[in-house]
Amino acid sequence: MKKPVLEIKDLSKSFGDNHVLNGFNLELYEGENLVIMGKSGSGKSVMIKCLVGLMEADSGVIKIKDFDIISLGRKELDVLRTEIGFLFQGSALYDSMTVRENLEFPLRRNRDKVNTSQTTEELVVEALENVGLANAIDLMPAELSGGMQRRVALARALILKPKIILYDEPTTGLDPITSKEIIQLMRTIQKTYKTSSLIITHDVDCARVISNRMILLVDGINYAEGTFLELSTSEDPKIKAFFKN
Amino acid sequence: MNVSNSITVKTKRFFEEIGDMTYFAIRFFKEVFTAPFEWRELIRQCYQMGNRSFILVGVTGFILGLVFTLQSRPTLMEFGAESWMPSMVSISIVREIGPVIIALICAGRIGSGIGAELGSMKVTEQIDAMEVSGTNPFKYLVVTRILATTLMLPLLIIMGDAVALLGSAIVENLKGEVSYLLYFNKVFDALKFSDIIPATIKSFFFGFAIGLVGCYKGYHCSKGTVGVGEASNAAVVYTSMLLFVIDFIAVFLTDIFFEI
Repeated sequence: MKKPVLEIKDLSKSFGDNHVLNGFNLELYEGENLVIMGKSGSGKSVMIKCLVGLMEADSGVIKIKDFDIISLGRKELDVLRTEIGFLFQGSALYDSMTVRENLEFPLRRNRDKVNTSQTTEELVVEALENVGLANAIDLMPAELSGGMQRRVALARALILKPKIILYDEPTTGLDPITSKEIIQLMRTIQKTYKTSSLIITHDVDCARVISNRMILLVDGINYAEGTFLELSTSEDPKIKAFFKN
Repeated sequence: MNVSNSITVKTKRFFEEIGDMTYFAIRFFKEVFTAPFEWRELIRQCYQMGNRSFILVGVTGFILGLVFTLQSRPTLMEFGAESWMPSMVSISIVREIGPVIIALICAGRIGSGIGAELGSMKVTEQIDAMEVSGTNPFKYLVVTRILATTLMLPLLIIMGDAVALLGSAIVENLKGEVSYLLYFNKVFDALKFSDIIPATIKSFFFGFAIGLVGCYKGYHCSKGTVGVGEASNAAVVYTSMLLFVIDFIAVFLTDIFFEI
């Protein structure tokens, strides 16, 4: 039986009386693109932040490569985090640093994690070439368009050559053409780096193109699970609502 | 009833904030002594804070000394005590006015800058991005900034005091025909270690307070861009209040340990 690289069991998280996650479950397998869809405020971003330890879950188990991240200390968690790439919704580039410095930043303390004879400069250039932005290396984030910022953020997420990539709304705020380019890039990257991806989105086009499997998150639980075709042809009104347009 | 409720809520929030800030300070002391150390970022911050505040502090100090001497001169002349001018100006500036005014200037210049910078990093998820990249953002952003303000403020205050005395000496030279050599001889005759040491120690605490409050407000910023403005503003207001509290405690302790 195939072993998941990432596993969530009965994850719960509340903010006061607002129960955002009520026993959410998930398994991500090697080389898979798993899409989580849900309405705004359904807890998708909370779930992904719990996954990397940016938020503390109330209860449940989160296992990444057999390590329960909830029980890990700061140092162990930092080591595990280097195996995960994270693309933030707003790119989250360090705006006081150039593109080069943004990409060098994760390498400062974790250079030895990348098993390669390449120099830091070569790693940065390679990551930028993979997202088609080698010529932007000395620009500041403010000088880049939204789509370019997203590409640089993706290059930064890939710089440590992680095996798992988490995408938080990768196409939000981008025009349709740039969204398509980013989706295409995500597919290329998966082939190049052989990563497993967890993609949080409410963009149906993105889910259709990229997903191997999907989970619909409703009221803090996995409401439905299946391939895009299975879910998009479902007669359940709650599922249909996601694919209406 | 509503007024009393509002006062209760605000008082509770005030004490909660003091508790949070104390916890933040304790975390700083825990992290500052543990590896890895962010030396490059610390030096960069020291350079930025020192370099960018240099002219502002210099101009403020110069005008302070100039105005202080111009305003005090007529009164001292009335009593025939203008020869006391260098002693009076130097003791006032070194002990009290210099450190407090320059610390307040730096609270506005550096504290608000830290609050706004960290606040905008927080709301745009840059701090989260740092965290997931395996870097401790508290160590990288907070520890370096608090250390930099703690180290740089005494230097800025010493520089500001020196420029203020120069301003005063220029006025005395032009108005009272007192030579620069005589003026500074009188200044150094008047100043004792009990004037300089407590003022210097106090300025380290001023620097720490500016860094701590600015970082705390920025690091806990929320509510988007509005929150960034609030963090920046609150950093200045809270720091200014804290500076006067520290100054009061410092004067009180100086009075006990040194004969003023």
